Amino acid sequence: MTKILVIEDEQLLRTNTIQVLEFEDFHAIGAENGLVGVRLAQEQIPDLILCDVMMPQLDGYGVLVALRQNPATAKIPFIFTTAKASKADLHQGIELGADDFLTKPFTSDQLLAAIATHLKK
Amino acid sequence: MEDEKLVRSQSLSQDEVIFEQWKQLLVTESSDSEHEKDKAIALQEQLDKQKALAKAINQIRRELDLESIFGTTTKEICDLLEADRVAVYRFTPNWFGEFVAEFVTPGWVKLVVPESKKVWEDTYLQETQGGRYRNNETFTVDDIYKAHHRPCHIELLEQFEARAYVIVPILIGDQLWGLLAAYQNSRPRHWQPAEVNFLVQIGEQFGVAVQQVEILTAMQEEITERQRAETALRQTEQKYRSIFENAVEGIFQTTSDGHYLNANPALAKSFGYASPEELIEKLTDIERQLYVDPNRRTEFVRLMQKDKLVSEFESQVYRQDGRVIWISENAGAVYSTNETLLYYEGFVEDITERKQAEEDIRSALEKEKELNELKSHFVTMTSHEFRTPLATILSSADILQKYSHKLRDEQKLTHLQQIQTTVKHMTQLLNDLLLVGKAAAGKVQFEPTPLDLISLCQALVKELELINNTHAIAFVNKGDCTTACMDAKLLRHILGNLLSNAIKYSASGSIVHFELTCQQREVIFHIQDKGIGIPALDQAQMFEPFHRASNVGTISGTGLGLAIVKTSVDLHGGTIIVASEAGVGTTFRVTIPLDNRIGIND
Repeated sequence: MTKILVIEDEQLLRTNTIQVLEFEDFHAIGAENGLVGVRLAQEQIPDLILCDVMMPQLDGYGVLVALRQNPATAKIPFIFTTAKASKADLHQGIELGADDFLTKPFTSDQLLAAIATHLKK
Repeated sequence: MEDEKLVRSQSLSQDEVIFEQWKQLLVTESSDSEHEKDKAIALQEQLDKQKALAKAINQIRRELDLESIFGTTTKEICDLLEADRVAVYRFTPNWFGEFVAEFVTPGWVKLVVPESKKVWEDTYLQETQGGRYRNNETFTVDDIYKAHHRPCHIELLEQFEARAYVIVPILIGDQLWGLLAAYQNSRPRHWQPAEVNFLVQIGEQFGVAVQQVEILTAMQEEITERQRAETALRQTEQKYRSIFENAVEGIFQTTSDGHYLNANPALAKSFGYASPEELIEKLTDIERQLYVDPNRRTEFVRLMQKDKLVSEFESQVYRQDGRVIWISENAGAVYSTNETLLYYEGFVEDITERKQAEEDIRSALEKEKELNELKSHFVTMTSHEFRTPLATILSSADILQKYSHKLRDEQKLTHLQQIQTTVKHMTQLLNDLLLVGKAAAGKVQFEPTPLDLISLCQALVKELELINNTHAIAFVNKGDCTTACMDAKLLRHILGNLLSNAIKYSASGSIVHFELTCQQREVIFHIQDKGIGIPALDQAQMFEPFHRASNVGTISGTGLGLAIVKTSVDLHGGTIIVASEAGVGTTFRVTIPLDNRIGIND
């Protein structure tokens, strides 16, 4: 079963996302902040990671950099979810090695389409 | 006889007296001999001529009027020689000529007619440029019909009505100016050598006279010219002096060793001296006294040497009173004919105001930029704050729509409730934002009214305990609070936010302490919790919109609560102090003046 890690500090949003993934027969794991997210990624080696950008202490970019440095997690497809959608932010994400972006609010269709695209690779 | 002689002597000039005496002497000493008598007469005639000559000389020495000299002398000569005409003839530049003076006995044609200036064209004289007369020779003709003259010459002489004539040159130095002529018109005449000689001497004197006049005229012209030039110069000098004195800009001349040759009143004023004289006297070392940075003078001199001018040279300089101003100099270097530097001269403009204005503009732009950055940041943050709850609402609605068949009833209910809660949260956010925005624009209404503080606080405590049934609020009040006059709405913001925060950021079951102390002039609100505390680093920024402490974890919040508290406290003219330690707890102490009716607290 495909494992997807959801790193999101907003509780309701995180649980909703996990519910959608579960309904679509994914095995979804939740992390409530960046630090927990990095740890879980390294422990569980998911097939894809969804990560919020704006989080206190360790933000999405920090998580990405940490995971890309670890060969075990470097190749995992990484999708940012973010309420910030300026061009500069997008470029920064791509520069750091993210595979895609989802701008909040997004529909479950948009979410599933993005996951499908990057799992295929 | 003797008395007559004496009187006559006294009325004559000294020369004349001598001649008279000599004449008398000769007459009395003459013998009866005819020969002697002739000799005496000849001598007398000689003396007469000498007398006339002397008189002419005198007159020339005394007067400078050619007309009167010529006039008097030609008459004297004519009388002495018993001639019919004595005339003065002047050459024109092309060696034609005109008669300028004459004495002619009555009955003869006048050669000098004032109204018409007749120019005689003597071709011989013209061709030879004055003929023999150029060589200081004379010409004597006893009878024109026997002198082998050409017919045209005789014709000319007949116009003069001349029968016999003597012509002598009038020279100025070596140059032939004109001729002196004596004419016998009535008959031929044998001219005596003495007579010719006499004419020659007069001619010489005439030359002297003319020369004198010419020199004098030249001198007078020179004087007039010089006076004219002086007047023009003085006018020009006045014109430029006026510009120099009245110019608004400072004008200067300085030497290479750093002192002033010249300064105008505007410069003295700019530099704070009472007068240009004072400036020149006191400001003797430009390098050290004037420029704040002495290297400026060195730079000034360097630029002068390189380009021979300096343009918009801006520097800070000291006035006499030590105050510093900015100046801009435009100047050039002035050299003597042999390429040595004489001085620097130019203009000085006080640009202190302009510099200040430039600084002000720069500073304003800086502030503007800062403000724009803040605004931009605020907008970004706000949009972010809204997107997140919207994402929650959308995802719940999405799930309800797409997976309703997979949801249990209670799950559906949960989602619906989530939507509603999130909407409420967004509404609160919006209200808070509007309040913050209004406060930033200075548009929050401050409406103090007399209130029952204790009741207000008690009601608030009850409300909060009901909503958040996780915490107890211990409320204590001291002092007389009956005369309080404050804005109730804003007060609810202050107390509501602080109490909500105390509840939100501390563990369930812990107690929040709320103390109200009323003093004579002010009221103190004390709110204490044993919650997560505010890290020291965050305390500096905690009143900024959207700021959330680094240790809030997953506890939700808009980040606007404290910003609203601060604004409300400021509007009351009060103060807010925090004491907090991360992991231990937080205490807020708000002090507000008791009576806020307008005018009382001024």
